Order: sequence, then structure tokens, then C-alpha cells
Amino acid sequence: MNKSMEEELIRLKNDALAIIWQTKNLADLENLRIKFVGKKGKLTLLLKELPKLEISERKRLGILSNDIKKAIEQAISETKQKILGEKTEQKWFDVTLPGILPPDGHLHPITHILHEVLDIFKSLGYQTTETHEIQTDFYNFTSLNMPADSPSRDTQATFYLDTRGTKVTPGEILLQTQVTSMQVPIMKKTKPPIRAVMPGKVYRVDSVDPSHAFDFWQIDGFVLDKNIHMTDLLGTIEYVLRKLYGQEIKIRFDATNFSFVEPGVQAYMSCTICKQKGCPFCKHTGWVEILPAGMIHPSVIKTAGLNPKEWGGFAFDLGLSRAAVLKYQINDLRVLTNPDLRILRQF
Amino acid sequence: MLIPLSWLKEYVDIKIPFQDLARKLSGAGLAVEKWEEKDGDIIFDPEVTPNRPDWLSVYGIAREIAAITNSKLKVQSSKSQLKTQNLKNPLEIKIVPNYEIVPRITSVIIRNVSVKPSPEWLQKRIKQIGLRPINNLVDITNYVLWLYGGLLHVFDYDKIHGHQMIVTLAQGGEAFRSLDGLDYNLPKGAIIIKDADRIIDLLPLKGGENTSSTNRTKNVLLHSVVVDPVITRRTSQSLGLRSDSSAVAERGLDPNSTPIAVKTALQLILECAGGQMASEIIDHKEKEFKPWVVKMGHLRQEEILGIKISPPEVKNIFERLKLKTTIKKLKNDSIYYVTIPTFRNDLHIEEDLIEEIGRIYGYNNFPKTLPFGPIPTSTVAYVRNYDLEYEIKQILASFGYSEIYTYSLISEERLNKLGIDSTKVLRVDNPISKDYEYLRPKLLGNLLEALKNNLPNFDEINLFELGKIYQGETLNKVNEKYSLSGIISGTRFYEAKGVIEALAKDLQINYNILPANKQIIEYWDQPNRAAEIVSSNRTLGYLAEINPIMLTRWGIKERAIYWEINYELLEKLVNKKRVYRSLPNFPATTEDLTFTILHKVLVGDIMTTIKEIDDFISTVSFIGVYENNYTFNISYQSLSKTLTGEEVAKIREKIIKVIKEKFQASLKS
Repeated sequence: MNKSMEEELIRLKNDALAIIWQTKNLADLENLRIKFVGKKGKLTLLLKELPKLEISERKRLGILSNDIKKAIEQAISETKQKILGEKTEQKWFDVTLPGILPPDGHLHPITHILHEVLDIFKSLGYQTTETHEIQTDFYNFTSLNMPADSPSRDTQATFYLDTRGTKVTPGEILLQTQVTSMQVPIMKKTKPPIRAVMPGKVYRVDSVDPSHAFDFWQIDGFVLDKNIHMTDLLGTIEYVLRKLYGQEIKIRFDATNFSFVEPGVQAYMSCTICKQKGCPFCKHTGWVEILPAGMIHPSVIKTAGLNPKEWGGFAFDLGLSRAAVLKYQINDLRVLTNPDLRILRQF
Repeated sequence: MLIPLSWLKEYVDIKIPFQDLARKLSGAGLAVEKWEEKDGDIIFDPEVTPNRPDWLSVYGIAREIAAITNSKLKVQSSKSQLKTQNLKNPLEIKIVPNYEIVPRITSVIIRNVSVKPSPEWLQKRIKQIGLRPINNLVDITNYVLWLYGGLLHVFDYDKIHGHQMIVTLAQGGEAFRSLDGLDYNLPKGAIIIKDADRIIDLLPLKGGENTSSTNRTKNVLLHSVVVDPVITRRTSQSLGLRSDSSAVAERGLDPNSTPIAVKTALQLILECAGGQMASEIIDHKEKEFKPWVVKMGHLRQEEILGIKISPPEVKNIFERLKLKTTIKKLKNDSIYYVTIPTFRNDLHIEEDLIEEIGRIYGYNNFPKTLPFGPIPTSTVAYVRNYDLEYEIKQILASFGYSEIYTYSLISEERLNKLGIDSTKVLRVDNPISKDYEYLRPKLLGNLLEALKNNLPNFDEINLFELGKIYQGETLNKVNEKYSLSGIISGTRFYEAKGVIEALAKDLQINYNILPANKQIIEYWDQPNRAAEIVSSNRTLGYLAEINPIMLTRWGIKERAIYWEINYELLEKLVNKKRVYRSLPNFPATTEDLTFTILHKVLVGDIMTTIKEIDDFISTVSFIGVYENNYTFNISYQSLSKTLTGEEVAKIREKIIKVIKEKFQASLKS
């Protein structure tokens, strides 16, 4: 009997310790504590048998069961420390390992700058329109006060479409050399007042090298309203350029001549590439031509079927490719048409 | 056109540093960005706009400097009276003018000249302006051209057959040898002068070799002409002849330039080459070329410029520009009557004069304002939604696609590689090279090229372009529209499809992706791996693995997936409206059903079929296929109640029955 109780105590101890040491979480551990040494735990129940024993036995087994209780409690405590320790102890963790990257996609620099420019004009109440790359000589030139044989066409060497097999006169259909070609069509079909910007790709017969391209991006805009002044044009240009390039840039206006405006101005901006120290991009002048503009020529308004005494306004043109080159300090125009991911991933 | 500063100083006082002068000239519209310091002088290289022929001369620029610096302009020269006492035996010339094409021709004959090198001062000027001194006669004509912008030519009088000069138009095809020994085949309508037998001058571009002056020349005829600018431009373009003379002539010569040019040159010839006048100055002109008057209102000027400037200030600006002005005061306005000299043929309308005020006042002195008045609310014609475009591009970039911009002009070779007949593609008449000759009818070629060029540097490539394509075989059927196309490396068909599905979902477009009809599978498709994207019974686009034959043609060793979307249709299908649907109040029952199907079957068909079986089937998704066992996850849900086990079982039985019958399937238990 006594022997069996002693055996039972030892078995209980062995069982308890074996299970406790295997335990991985605190909740299980607590259950085990209740199971073995709780008020109704196995050891507690066994100890209730002690008074039934002889004194000597009672003493011996009392000491033994006390030791067992301590051992179990210690095992629980140690296991508890172990579990807590595993949670808080710094396992080796390397924060410098490369992150897992999301898919790596990029927008083209022209898209970036176009979005920025359109956003600025939207805030000024301009709407954006389509332009037609395949255009008529009339809208590209004649309607803009650039009749055939006018020297003003000289700076816009033109690609003409092949007219063979059609009734179209050779030279009649061309690739737009300026997005200004949309100005008269828009004016014809929209009831003024108008504020519009027209982005698009334009084409000029030119060689392909670091500073030349036969196609490039432009955005033109115009306002047609009553009581529009040159000062409004200059203010608009300054607002847009500062939004785009920062408040610190310098802006200068020179008089110039474009057939479809009168008077005409050319806006120059301090070179953003060399900060006016002089570089090949600004031809060492510290200034870059950025925005030709002017008050819409009365004959253009007349061509659109409106009365130039009643309606007037201004028009301007921003070379988007050029603006992108300046914004991102691109040293070669061909970068914009080179679909190389090593380039695109920079934007 | 090179302009020495020291030469300008002969006609106007310049007290400011030359850099400041250049800046002021540029501000007023004569761009002087380039100059060279040479032998103690400054040589300006201005860029002259097409409207200002008068700036193509030293005197014209001096006049502008006088206006912008408010200093005095010295009068045009020819101070000495030309002596005509030697006209004892005048030499005869019969000139037959044609005023329609040459409104003025002013001539003089000089006998006994000595053709020899110019004096040093003249040679120096000629070198300064970038020309090579030839002999005194030629150098003098160039000198006077530079000084006054007058076109001059010297003929050897004795070589003019019959001593007659007839101004006429070329018939076309005539041979003509110029004084510099070059042969030309004259275009129809070029302005020429004939003597009794031959063409002796191509006006105003080149004199003829047959009547040019040589070292043995004794008697010369000097003339200055005003020619039609349009004909000049056409002729110089068709012969590829651009010169300083043609630059002035194309912009429109001052019709009163000929007498002063002839007199100045005559005087210089008498000084430098000796000889005596052998004729009067013979001036053939269409009419008296008189100044004209342009009217300008002060209020109109204020409206356009937006600056406050007083009538006396306006008058002062005009007078500095040598434009005589009278002011008529009205009750509320002042009207300026401005007399325009013939050298300012760019001034004809009110706005032209307003520009003169603006540029002399200086645009950098203008206040800066923004347009006043309400923002227009009506939709502008040809409006385009660039916001949508940007949103779509951003979605694609977020899915790992990079955007490219490629040339719209492509080569015939590229078309051939695509299997497209170049005779059915729009073409430019004057391409800069064979590489850029045709307008791309598709983005595919450029995307393949871009893929190929990136393969050496990247393992996984995803590219897209949203750009114009040009369809319609002929100009009568031009159709310029947007295409949205992408290409990805490898065999990631389902990744490409997933991107299109996610894009469609984001834009709320209903679509279906089906096996492409054999009829429309194009040359570039891999036949059994081509899909058509259909929406509202219209083709929204294609998605396909590219045919390996095509890839080989482009030298691409990997495989690739291509997709293209009709962007204009996409724009129409996009639904930006978002309507909230409240969350379901009743739980869904979800289960997996696995069917065994032993033959090839389209999973898309099974899913569509299941979805249509009952309204309570809320979602159907495909879990996977393993050894002919197709597993689908099906959710049953009602918006108005919790479905009971029996209700779900009924629907399940329906599904099993339909799928068994339609696809010869059995339910795997």
C-alpha cells in the first residue's frame, strides 16, 4: 500500500515533468499546473490520502510529496520562462536583406510631364483636346496666317503624305508640324469663351541626333474671350513655368514674330541644367527658349468665322519634349524615343 | 548674316556695352545671341525673323538701335552729288521691264572702269561679314547689299548682246550657267533677264557667266532690282539656292531701295575702280512707291497690351521708329494716324502697330496678370479625356508594365516582317530615310523591337504603349486612332490575361475573353494560343502568344505574349460610376464541387454555365485541375434570407445535372 503510494507519487512526478517540459504554450502549461498541483490536482488528491498512513510513513511520504510538488512547480516555472524567453529573445533577423519588391512598372517621362502640365492648366480652367497628326495644309499653315510660299514656313520643314492613287493634291495632306493646327478647328466648333490646351505629337523633316528629332511632343493652348491682354499672357506663362520648374527660376520675354500672333513674344527661362553657369544645352547663354506665344492674330480669328473686334485672346506653345529634357536633365533627345528599360526605370 | 559693331557705329552712336546692346536688340525682337570678338571688333550674328527684311542690313539695324536706345540715326549716305558732266557719248541700253514680276529696276552704265582688288578698308569689311574679297566691283555690290539691303549686280556692258535687257519668266528647262561656273536647269516661272540672244541673269539669285565682269572688263552696267518675293522663294527652293540676296528678296524688298543702292554703289565704283558715268540713272518702276497710313486706336492698344501708356509716349515710340504720327483726339479715345515708310512692309494693320509699342516699351516691363472673367463652362470641341489615359497608364505601371514611346514612322522592312503589305499602308512622300517611311498601322512591330533590345539586360520584361496608329489604305480613308498594346517576355499568358482582367474590373467594363476565331487569327498569332477580348458583342482587343515564326524574324529567341486594345472603344465602355451595394445580411454557403471530365473542355464555358444556373449562385471560381478532375468553388447566397440546407442541395443537384449533360462530366465524390 505504502509502497504503491510511493510508486504512484514517483510516477506522477515523472509523468508531470515529461509533459511539462514538452509544453510549448502558456495556456497548456496552466492547464497542467491545475491538473497536477491545483486544488483538485492529482498530487493534491494523493496527499489527501496521507493522514491514513502510519506516522513514520506519513512523514517520509510527506517530505517526498513536498519535494515532488516543488519539482513540478519548478518545472512549470522553468518551462514558463522558456516559453516566454523564446518569444522575446532576439532570434537572428537581418533587416538589411532586400525587400520583396512589388511589380516594377514606370511611366514615360513625357507622360509624367504632360500630366503635370495638364494639371496646372486644369487649375486655370483650361480643357484638354485631341490633335490630329494627319492634318491638312490649310489648318496646319494657311489658317494660321502662313500661306503657301511664306518664308514663315521655312522653320517647319514638312512631311507630306503620299497621294498616289487618290484625288488629293500632292502637298495637301501632311503630318502636323505644330499642334497649333487644332486652333482654328476648335474655334470654329466651340462657342467662345474658350480656354483650351492641345497636346500632341508633331513632325518636322529633321535629322535624328542628340538635339534634333523628326517627331516630338508639344502642347499648345489658347484663350479666346473678351478683354484679354498681353499682360494676361505673360502672367499665365510665368504662373505655369514657376509651377512646373519652381519659384526660383528666372523668366525673360523677348519680342518675336510668329505669323499667327500679333504681337508675339518668346519666353526664356534660366537654364535648369547648368543653373546659368553655361552649358551646351543653353548654348552657354544661361537661357533656354521655352515658350513662344502671342496675342492671336485677327486674321486667324476671322478665318475661324469670328469677329476679331469682338473676340480676342492669346495663344502659346510649350515644347513638351524640350520641357521634359529640361525637367529631368536629359542630355540627348533620343532618350525620349528609346524604349530601353534601363532608361524607363529612372522615371 | 554677320554685322560688325564698328560698321553700325558709323550710323548710330552706341554708348552702352555691346552685351547690353545685344540684350536690348533681342528684347525688341532681333535675336542677337551669338557674336564673335575679332581684331578688336565685335561681329554680331543676329537671327532675323521672316517679317523683317529691313533687319538684314547694317543700316536697318542701326535704325533699330537708334529707336531702342533713343539716339540719333545718321542719314543715309551719298552725300556727294553725282557728277554727270561726262555724259558726252552716252552708252545705250534698251531695258524692257515687266512690272508684274520686277516692279522696279534701276540701272546705270559706267565706262572705263579698272577691275582690280578692292582697297584695304573694303576688303576688311568684306572679310568681316564672312565673304571672300573678289574684285572691287563684286565687293562693292556685296558691301551695298549689306549696308542697305539693296540687290545689286554688275554686268559687262560690252557682253550684253544687242545692248538690250528683257525681263521675263523662264519657260522651264532652259540651261543657265552662273558667273561662278555652275550649270542650272531653270524651273518654269523663274525670273530671268535676256539680252538679244541669251539668258544673262537669274533674278535675284545669280548673274550669268556670259555677261559677268572680268579683269578685262572696261564698261559695266550696274543695276538694282525689286523682285516678286513669292517667285523668288519658289525658284530658290526648287534650285536649292539660298543666299543673302534671296533672304532679303523673299522677305520683300523695300521698293525704294534701288535708287539709294545704285547711287551708293556708283559712287564707290567711281572711287575704287575709276571710270565715268556713261548714262543717267535709269529708273524703271511700276509706280511711285509711297508710304501708307495705318490707323490705330488708343483704347484698342490698351485692350490688347493691358498696360497704361499715354498718347505722347505712344507717339514718341512711333517717331523713334521713324514712323511719322499725328494724333486725333476723340471724346473717349485717341486715334493715331501713322505713316509707314516703304522699308517697313510688315506694318499694315492696327495690331502691327500695337506690337511696335509692346516691343519698344519692353515686355519685361509689363505687369503680369491672369485672365479676368468667368472660367468657360461649355465643353470645348475635340475634348479628350487625358485623365482616363493617365489612370489607365498608372494601373498598368502598378502591375509592373513600363511605358514606352516609339516612332510613328517605321520602315517597309518592319512592315514586311509583320506580314503587312506596304502598299496598303500610309506613307510619307519625303521620308528622311527608309527607316522612317510608313505610318505604323499597329504598335506590335515597335513593341517587338523594344522587347528584343531589352532582352540582353532583363529577365522579365513587361512593356506597353498607348499611341496613335494610322489605318486606312489611302488618304481618302485615313483613320488615325489610339491603340493600347503591351508585350511581355516568356509564356506568361495568364499573367497578361490577369492584367487585362484587372484593368477591365477597375474600369468596370464587362468583357469576355474567348478563343480567337480562326478567321481573324492574324499572321502574328500563335493559332491555338490566341484570344479575343469581347465586350458588348464588339472586339475590344486581342491577347495572344506571338507566333514563333514571327519571333524568329525579329531575332527573338524567347517566347512572348502580346495584347492590343482598341483604345477608343475602351474609352466608350469605361464606367466611372461607382454605386455602393450594401453588404449581405445573410450568410453564404460555400462548397467545392469536383467534376471528372475526360475530354478537352474550356473551363470558362463551365464557369459561365454554372453561374447562369441559378440566381442564388453568387460566385463561381476555379480552384484547379488535377488528372481530369476540375474543382470549382461555388457560393450560394440570397439577399433576403439564409438559404436552408435543402435549398442549397436543390441548386447543387441542378448544377450537377446540367454539367453532366452539357460536358459529359461526372461528379467526383
